[in-house]
Amino acid sequence: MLRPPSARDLRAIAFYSGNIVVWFGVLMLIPIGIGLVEREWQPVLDFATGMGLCLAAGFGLQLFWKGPPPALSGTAGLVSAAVSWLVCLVAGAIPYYLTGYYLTFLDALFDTMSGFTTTGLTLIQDINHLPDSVNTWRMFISWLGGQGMVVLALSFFTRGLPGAYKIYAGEDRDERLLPNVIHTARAVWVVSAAYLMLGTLMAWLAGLSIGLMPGRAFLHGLWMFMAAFSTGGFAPYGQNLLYYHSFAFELVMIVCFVVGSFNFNLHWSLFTGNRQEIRKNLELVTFLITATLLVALGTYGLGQMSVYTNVAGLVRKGFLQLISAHTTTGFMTVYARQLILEWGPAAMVAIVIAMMLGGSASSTAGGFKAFRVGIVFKALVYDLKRLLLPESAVTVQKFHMFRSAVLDDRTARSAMTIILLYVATVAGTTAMGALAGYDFLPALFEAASVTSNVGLSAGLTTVATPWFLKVTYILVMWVGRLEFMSVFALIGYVYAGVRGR
Amino acid sequence: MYQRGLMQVSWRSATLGILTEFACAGVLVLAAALIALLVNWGVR
Repeated sequence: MLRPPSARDLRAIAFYSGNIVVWFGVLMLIPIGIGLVEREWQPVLDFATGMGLCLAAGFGLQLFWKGPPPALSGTAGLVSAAVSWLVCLVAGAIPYYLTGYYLTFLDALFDTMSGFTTTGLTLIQDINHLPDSVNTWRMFISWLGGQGMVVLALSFFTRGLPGAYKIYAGEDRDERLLPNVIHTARAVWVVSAAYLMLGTLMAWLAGLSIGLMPGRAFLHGLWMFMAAFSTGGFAPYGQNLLYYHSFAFELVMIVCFVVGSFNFNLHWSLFTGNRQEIRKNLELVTFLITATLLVALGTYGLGQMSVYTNVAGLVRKGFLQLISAHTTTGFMTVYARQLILEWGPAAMVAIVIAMMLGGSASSTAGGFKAFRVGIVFKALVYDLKRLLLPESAVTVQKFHMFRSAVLDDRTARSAMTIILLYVATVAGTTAMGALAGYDFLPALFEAASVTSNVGLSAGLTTVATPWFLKVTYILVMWVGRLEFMSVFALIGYVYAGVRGR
Repeated sequence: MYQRGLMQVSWRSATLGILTEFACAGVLVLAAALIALLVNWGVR
């Protein structure tokens, strides 16, 4: 039976959510700084307003708790993560809306959620002429959402708050690289900062090679790295990655988003010298196998349809879209309608499956996650063995994920539950697309894209999309990113609170 | 090894770690190029 939240729980949730929102507001100093350098006075004013509102809301929420920081129950931690996301969503949408690049506040909310969840779909207007400060904020919130807003708040702005780990886990993060959660959060940021420097440098060089001026090449390199490593998929121009027309640039981006889709535990293992992990890790092996199979299926389908007539076309268009889908990045080097009109059934099946499978757990990627796919496959093999082999021949099923473990029913059931929830969400979202009058295939494609936080589009996501479908997509992006449990905890809390009174 | 402190990550192991991950992404690109080559050759 659900226990109604106590007044103490609610005040503790308000305290932690307020803490995160305050620091989210402080981060708006970044676009403000860029705007001041570039003399973009209006966006500076818009972001300053947004920052002021965040600080007011954050400090206001913190007033509900007096005394030393409280401890949190597991459910309260999950609810805190979900509430922080919602408050940051509204706070982040305000400066967006004030810039005048959105027709409605709902569109600004859509883009903010798309950024936070590293989806990459956008409803922004006049995208090719955005101020640098707005572009920086778009990419930055995508990067922030990928690394985890809670991780950021924990790593730099908190001092050993006792409820920290509970909120951290609520944001679909379960890595404990180091014994202390604050140190773990900082380790995540050390890894991210190392890649930020290296990836920006590589993208900057690629930008220079295609003739961008050094200053612009740096900004584009920084933006595109943040969009790639967070598996976000935003780009400063409407043509997305196609704008650069450069294989070198595309190659740098592929490396960045493939590495960005890896588990942070894997990054940390490799950073600390445990290079054997890359051979044995169930998740990575599963990802490489599924990626290769889906690329083979998609490329074969494209070959049959004679869409691209040479190897370069198959790699730069076919492979890039497929691996962009599998890592849930959403960078595109083809136009949205080309996918529906030209790609043919086999390639479309490959790309939809790739989107649903997604990247690694505890990474910036969405989808089922390769770990769960690997676990379900191993459980299936084990059940088949039990069915077909004599009892004496069946031993326990093991798997390696940073350490060897025996596959038990609980792990398999948990993986299966999340996969079923994803499939049900995709089915429901497809139905909403059909209700809005779209054909089945584009509706399914877009549903898989928003649920797995991918950002590839079949052309459904435009300013003309019906409002109820935009609201559905916003909710589904949120649910998909937090992997259901935090959102269920919030719904349970609200339900129990209403019922208990 | 798994829970080594933040300060114990050396430049060497971090660099090798990054290179290993890049190599992994490179293998995927090469596999894709090979598949594209085979498809291009086989379908036509």
